[in-house]
Amino acid sequence: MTRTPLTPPELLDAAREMLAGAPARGLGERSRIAAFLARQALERRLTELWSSRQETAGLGRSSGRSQLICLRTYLNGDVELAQEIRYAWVALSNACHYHAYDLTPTTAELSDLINTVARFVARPSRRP
Amino acid sequence: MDDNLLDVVMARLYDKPLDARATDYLLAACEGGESLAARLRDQGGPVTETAPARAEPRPTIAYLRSITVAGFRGIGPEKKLELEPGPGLTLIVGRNGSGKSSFAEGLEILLTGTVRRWNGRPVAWHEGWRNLHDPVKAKVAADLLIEGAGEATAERHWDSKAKLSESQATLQVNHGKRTTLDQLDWHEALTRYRPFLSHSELETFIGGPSQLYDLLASVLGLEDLAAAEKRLTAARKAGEDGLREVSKDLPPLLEKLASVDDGRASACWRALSGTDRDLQQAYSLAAGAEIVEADSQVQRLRQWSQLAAPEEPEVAKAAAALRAAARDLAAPVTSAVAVVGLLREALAHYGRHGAGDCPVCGAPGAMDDSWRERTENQVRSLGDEEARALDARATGEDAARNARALFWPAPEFLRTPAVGAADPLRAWQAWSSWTRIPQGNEAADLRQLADHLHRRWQPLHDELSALRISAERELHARADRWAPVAVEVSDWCARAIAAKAAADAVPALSAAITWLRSATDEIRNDRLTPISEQAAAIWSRLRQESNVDLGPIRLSGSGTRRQVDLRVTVDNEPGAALSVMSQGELNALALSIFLPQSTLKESPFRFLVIDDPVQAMDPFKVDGLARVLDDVAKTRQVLVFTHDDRLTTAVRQLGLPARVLKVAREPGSVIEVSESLSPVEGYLDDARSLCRDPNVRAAVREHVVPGLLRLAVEAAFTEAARRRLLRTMTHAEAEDQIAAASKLAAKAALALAPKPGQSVYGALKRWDQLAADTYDKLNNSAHHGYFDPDGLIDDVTSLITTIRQRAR
Repeated sequence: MTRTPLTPPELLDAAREMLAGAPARGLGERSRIAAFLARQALERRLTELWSSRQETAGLGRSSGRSQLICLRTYLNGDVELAQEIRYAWVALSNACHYHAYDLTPTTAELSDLINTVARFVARPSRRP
Repeated sequence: MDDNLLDVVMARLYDKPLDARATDYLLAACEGGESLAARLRDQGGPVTETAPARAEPRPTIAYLRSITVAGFRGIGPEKKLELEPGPGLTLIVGRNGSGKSSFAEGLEILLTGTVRRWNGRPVAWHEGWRNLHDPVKAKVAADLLIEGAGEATAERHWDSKAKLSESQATLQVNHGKRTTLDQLDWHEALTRYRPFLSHSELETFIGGPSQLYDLLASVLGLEDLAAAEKRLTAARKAGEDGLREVSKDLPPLLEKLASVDDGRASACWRALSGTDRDLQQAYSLAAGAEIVEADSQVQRLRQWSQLAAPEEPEVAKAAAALRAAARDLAAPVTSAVAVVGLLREALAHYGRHGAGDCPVCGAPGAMDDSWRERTENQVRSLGDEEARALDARATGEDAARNARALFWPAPEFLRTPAVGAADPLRAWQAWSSWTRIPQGNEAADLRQLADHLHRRWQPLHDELSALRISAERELHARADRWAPVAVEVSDWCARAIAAKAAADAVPALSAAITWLRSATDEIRNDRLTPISEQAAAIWSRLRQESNVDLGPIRLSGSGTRRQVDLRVTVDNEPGAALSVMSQGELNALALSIFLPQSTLKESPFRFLVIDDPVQAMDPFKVDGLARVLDDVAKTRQVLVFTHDDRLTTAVRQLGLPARVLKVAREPGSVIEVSESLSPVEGYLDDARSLCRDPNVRAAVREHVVPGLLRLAVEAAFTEAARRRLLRTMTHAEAEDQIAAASKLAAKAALALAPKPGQSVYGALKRWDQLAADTYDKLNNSAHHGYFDPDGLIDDVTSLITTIRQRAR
């Protein structure tokens, strides 16, 4: 059975479902999984963005930091969104990891982060 | 009261009118204690013109250019912490004990004279403020960039033996004459918009409902309203208590009045005892105003003391005149006058009836022509004598009239009982004898009258003198007894009259107080709304549990019951704020309130200093904090002192344009400060990082790196532009100009201010050809053949060094 990788919107839906899901799992675990799914959506969308131009093809293999640095340039000057995405990526990365001292982000905060990613996902790669 | 506040009060008075008297008191109370007292004294007068509010000098608006500390706390030899004046976030990072907090506390003590977090600490804390390695010289200083004035240095230093509180603080503007630090006029603003927040203060920030209340209330600037309310309340209390207080003093006073044997005292007693007091009458009695009905004794004594007999020379003169007149009224003269009258009658008879017998003796033919001739001669000779006699009679009558004018009836007030030692009886008797004067104007009568004058004057004079002296004595004795009591009575009456007026004012005062309280509540909450909204927005980014929501902040109650209502909902259920919150949440809450409060547009401080805000903060929240600080830093110079690198990490990860200074302490309290990140450095870092990533293709690098470098150079130009502009224009104007310069060339022009006809390239070329060329390369983003990103980064780094060094 071949599995098609989930598209970014599907990943975000999955993240939202996970957050709203039955409390069979602990909230902490659900939050981490949701954060993971949302970060994956973000990264996959980044890869899509890079693939849409010949110049940036393959940039998805570079470090997260490099991609976020470049994002500013390739979002056609939408500095604010680039900044938001950078924050979301940092926050989601932190939330994915289990730190003994760390608290998971709250459901509302995760929802905000997922919405930020969703705005990015919904944005066309190139301006028409 | 400041004009703005007075305007608000006036506008509200228009909307919600208050009766005239209460309005009068309210406005007087707003004006000040003296005005209110005057209004209460003077009931019916016209409303006083509101005195023009004092022109409040605008406090100095400033950014920080540096903080210098020497011999203070953890810092030994003098060390200067260079800061970038203007909006922006600066993190000062150092381990505990590195001396970083000494900069924060140094600035605080420089400006306020104390360090709030030391208050309430043991004495040792206050004594150990000097640095052990440099105990002689202790100084804290800050270079400021003052709006409209340029550069200034504020300094506070201590002599070698001085205590913490014994410092001298000076201010020097543009290297001019040193003045005192008060010149900044920051005193009030330091309480109201306190730009310092340390970790320990975060806790006390919400230490008690009244503490937070006071802090927020001071921000709102409603102290003047509170003061007015206090004045009204005091006046009302005085009105309520005054009569009671005054009444307490009345019984002893009445007792005293009763003991004084004086008609005025008894009149006062009558006026003041009983339920229907006549204060005005008692007051005028005591003040010595006319008291005719009130005390006949004193009145009589006064009358007696003014009595006098006719003057002795006058009496002697009258007696002499009488005796002289009596002498002239001789008897022959008198008969001659009678004979002349008879002969004239006879001549008249002869004229009517002709010659004949004598009608008196019957002698026949006695009246004939010869008789007539004889008789006419006789009448002529006797006429002169008659005139003399008439003259003497008139003189006698005049003398008698004059003498009788010296007598007037004894006044009735001599027929009254004695007053003390003054007895008018003998004077009355003497006077009665004196006035029993002989009648008639004949010579004998006149002689008798002269004798009467002579005999009776002396006893009258003696008795009246005796009565006058005894009456005067009695009056003095009474005055000695009465005067002190009179003073007491008039004092008491004055107090009672004032107390009564004050008591009359109570209802109007109450109305004014009620009105002012509700007005204060509403004005306060109106003014609190923007802070409350900002706090909620910040809280939503810092909060640690999504189920706690911060609603509107309200101040309620007053006096000891004043409190801050933090409307918190937990899972949409209302809850009490502080009790459901964790330590970290409380810190976040305190920050949520501190930041809006210290960044109000009225605050003169363009900087704010936060010491260790991330302690007890959930690591995940540090990202939120970094973004909140970044937001505040768009309009304020934000200095954050922190002991760990979580905030730095967050700032780096989020790519926020912040400056990071690392502070380290070497042996001997020698402090090292190094810049580890800046907005400029951040872009360069990104560029370098991109160049190092082997997975980033050259084409991407060529596209992205020049953009990042342009941003780095723009940031350097912005810093330089700000330093230059802030010297000459207001901070707002400077920021407007900087914001308007969106392109690299525009920013460069702002920073370098090339002379007319000179280009930015030209200006740079004067300093450094390479810098000029690098600038040119960045500005023309077209490719120039082979692209060497690493080389360009180096060139840009050197261009930035040139800008930083030369464009000062």
